[in-house]
Amino acid sequence: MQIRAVRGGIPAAEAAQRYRDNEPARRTGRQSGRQVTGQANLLEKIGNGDQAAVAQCIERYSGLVWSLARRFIAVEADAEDAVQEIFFEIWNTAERFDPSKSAEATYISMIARRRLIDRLRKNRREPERENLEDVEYALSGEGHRALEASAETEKVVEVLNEMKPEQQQVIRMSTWLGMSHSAIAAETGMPLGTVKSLLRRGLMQIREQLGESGATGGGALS
Amino acid sequence: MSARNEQMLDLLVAKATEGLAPEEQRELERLLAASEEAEPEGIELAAAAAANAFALGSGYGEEMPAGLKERLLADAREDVGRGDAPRASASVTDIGSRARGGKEPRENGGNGPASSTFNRLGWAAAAMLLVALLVVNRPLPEEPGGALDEPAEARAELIRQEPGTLVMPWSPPDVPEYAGVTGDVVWNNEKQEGYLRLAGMPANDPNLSQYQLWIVDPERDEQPVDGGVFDIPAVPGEVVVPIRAKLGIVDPQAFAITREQPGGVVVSDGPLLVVASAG
Repeated sequence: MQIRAVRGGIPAAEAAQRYRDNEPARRTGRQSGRQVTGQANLLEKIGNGDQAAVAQCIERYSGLVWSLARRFIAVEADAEDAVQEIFFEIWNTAERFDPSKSAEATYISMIARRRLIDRLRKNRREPERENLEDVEYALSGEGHRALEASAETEKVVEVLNEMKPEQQQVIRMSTWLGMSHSAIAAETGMPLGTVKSLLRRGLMQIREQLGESGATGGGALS
Repeated sequence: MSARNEQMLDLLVAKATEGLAPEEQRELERLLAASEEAEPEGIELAAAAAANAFALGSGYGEEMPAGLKERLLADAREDVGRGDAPRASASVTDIGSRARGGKEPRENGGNGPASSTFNRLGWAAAAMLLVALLVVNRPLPEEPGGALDEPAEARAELIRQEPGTLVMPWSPPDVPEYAGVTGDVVWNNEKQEGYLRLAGMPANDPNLSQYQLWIVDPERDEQPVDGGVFDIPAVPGEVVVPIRAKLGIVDPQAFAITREQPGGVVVSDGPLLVVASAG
């Protein structure tokens, strides 16, 4: 197993640097706000039963989904089961993907996180520590390029970089590492209410930023 | 922002970050139904977008195991492009197929997906519950006249043509919101074919929740089998939902429906909204 240990540093800042490093490729790859050349309508094709699109989807997003699963689930065999469930759900909800609301990678990550959170909650447990801060599983090449090329990811990185480090830390622990609010409070020493407040404000900021390009809407809450 | 919207936002954030208990999910649905919230998945999408941003920062490294990738491709060949899944009035998501073969989660001692409602009750208690239910095993009368959609016609054909077909009416539901639900489960074990017929079932918004079918088959597994998810449209009348039990049901004793988050769950906290028993 190839793993890379990451200690310290601010991931969002690193992400921003990676984004800047890949600027030329990103510019040629981006088609418009949320689409990347070659990525458009992949889920729509799957919804129409296109097997070639299925293989493409697995190739493109297996690293992203696997990375999430390994953070949320300690036992590799269980993580593999979860990944199968996630892709099964992706196939069966592909036709519900709306490119005006999110990037494809965001939709896939939402499905994956939803399933992983459900597993954690049902099993009444936190992600294992060894999966969290000390070990960073990363994305396959194509999956990584898909994120780099996403204008949506660029916007989110910008929003995260504008946040205070403690808020960024809370959002990272929750969204990327799958930690519960109480576990984050215990880990950081912040009051639970502060954790919830930082998380809520941060996610609303991200939603508003995405909503400005028609991504996630604002509705009555924004 | 009103107190109601504050509560709704708190629940949306909780759902997007650590999940909701069933009662919280129901409260969220109630609040959303009464609100003007245009995009209930907005916070979940924001959390997903944040996760992707952090994923980007994690660098290159581990690939998904090759064997898993191969299994995904093999599964997809079965799941995608069958072209026979109804997409309209009763959109069903591959009932039964999730629990087959290599897809079965290893939880519960490797016995496949299960409902924690049944887990907590234990099989014996669940059996007592089921024994208490009214058992009727008789053919239904002919379908009423008028235009029928394809699943309804197939259901009627199954009853007419296959003598071993079981018809199991839904027992009177205990949950007040579902008290008016009527209909039945039709199942033919030899053909491994069946249908849910539901009238008076509250509609669901697939973005908020979906109905999930559980098949109790103790001959196959002591835990109920995840039968997949389906939606009930917000139109009056009866809905017929096909069951595709590819995993090979041996001797179904009961069929139960729960309401879960979109996509369904691995382990359900219930409650069992409607139940049909074969006795």
